[in-house]
Amino acid sequence: MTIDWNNFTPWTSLSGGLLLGLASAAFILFNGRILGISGIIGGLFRPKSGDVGWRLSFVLGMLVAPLLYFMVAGPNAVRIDAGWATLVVAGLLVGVGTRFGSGCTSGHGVCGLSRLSPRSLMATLAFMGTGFVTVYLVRHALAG
Amino acid sequence: MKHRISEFAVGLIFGIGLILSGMTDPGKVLGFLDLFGAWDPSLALVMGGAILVGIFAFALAKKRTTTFLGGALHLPSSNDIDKRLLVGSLLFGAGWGLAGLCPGPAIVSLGAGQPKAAVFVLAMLVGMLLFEGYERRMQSVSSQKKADPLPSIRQVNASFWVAGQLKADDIAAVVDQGFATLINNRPDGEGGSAQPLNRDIEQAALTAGLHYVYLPVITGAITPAQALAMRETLASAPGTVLAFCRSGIRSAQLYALAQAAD
Repeated sequence: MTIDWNNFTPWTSLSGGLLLGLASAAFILFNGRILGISGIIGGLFRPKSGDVGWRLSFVLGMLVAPLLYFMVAGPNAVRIDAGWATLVVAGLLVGVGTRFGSGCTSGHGVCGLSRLSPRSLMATLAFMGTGFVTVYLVRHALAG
Repeated sequence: MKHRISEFAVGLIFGIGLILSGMTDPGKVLGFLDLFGAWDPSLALVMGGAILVGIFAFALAKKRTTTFLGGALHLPSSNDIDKRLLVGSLLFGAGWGLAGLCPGPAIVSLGAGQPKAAVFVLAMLVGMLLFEGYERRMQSVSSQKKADPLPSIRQVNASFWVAGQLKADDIAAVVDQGFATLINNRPDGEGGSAQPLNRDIEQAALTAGLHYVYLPVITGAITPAQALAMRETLASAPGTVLAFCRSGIRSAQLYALAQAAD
């Protein structure tokens, strides 16, 4: 392993992380909900009265976030290397996997670990584990 | 309305946090997941920063029964570490490692107008729908099993089963359990008006595509001719056979006699 110091962004990543923590804190303390994206979106597929509005408001905020960010800071550089077919397979895996596993990076990774939940710790270790393995396979083992 | 505004604001802050942290850049995410290449540890600081704040918030939330706005506090109650949790998370990790996108950053990138993120989100929604379909199917299968199990069904051997009195409504379950032939051994009218008519059961069975035979016998008075008829019926019956009478016992006796008949 070598550390990629050129791309290492400790301060923006840390401050971004603090914002994520702040948002998760506000969501549980003011809105009484776990800030877990896959659960918030997945819940829209079993709509119950009084259980849809809060999900849509939150998602709308996320969709508007880049517009506000770009107005203030200018567009950020983003690199999506994955091809279309890979994106479809990855999207399906993420959709099915997060619903079966009851959470994703936000629900298990941020909120669950903050709650000191052993269940979320196991989930986080599992998805980080296959994340590492998948990138290893794609970039090193199978890349030839 | 107060709630809708605060939910929107939290979504906005969360989205900005994702952009600032680098989570919406799949190149950066994959740089973090690439332990065996040039490793970019930045995202460890994202999670660290988030948990640093979150840990105090959730410690406080656990002590409260309502939110600061007076609403209900929905804290997860499940502690099960089961196959669902692990298999689901493993699949999610594989998808995350393939594209470098997880649900939150994908939604934010969709808002930024990234066509690739739009494709990913669409596939993700389809994946979530597949999950819903699977869940509903599992629920209906388990409720069906509870709602109408076949009465006192028992296996005699690999291709022959017996059951108690069936109704026309039971035919779907007979088909579901893989039977191709259904034999009624209970004479019509034996149980008075409470007994379903053979005609109705036969109608339902034929509609469902089952091979159906009405071979009524009386307990303790099974004739050699009836045993022979059963033997011939079984010899020509397609697939797995289910025979029924009042309790299933008569069908089992007839089966035994059929084996000895010639």
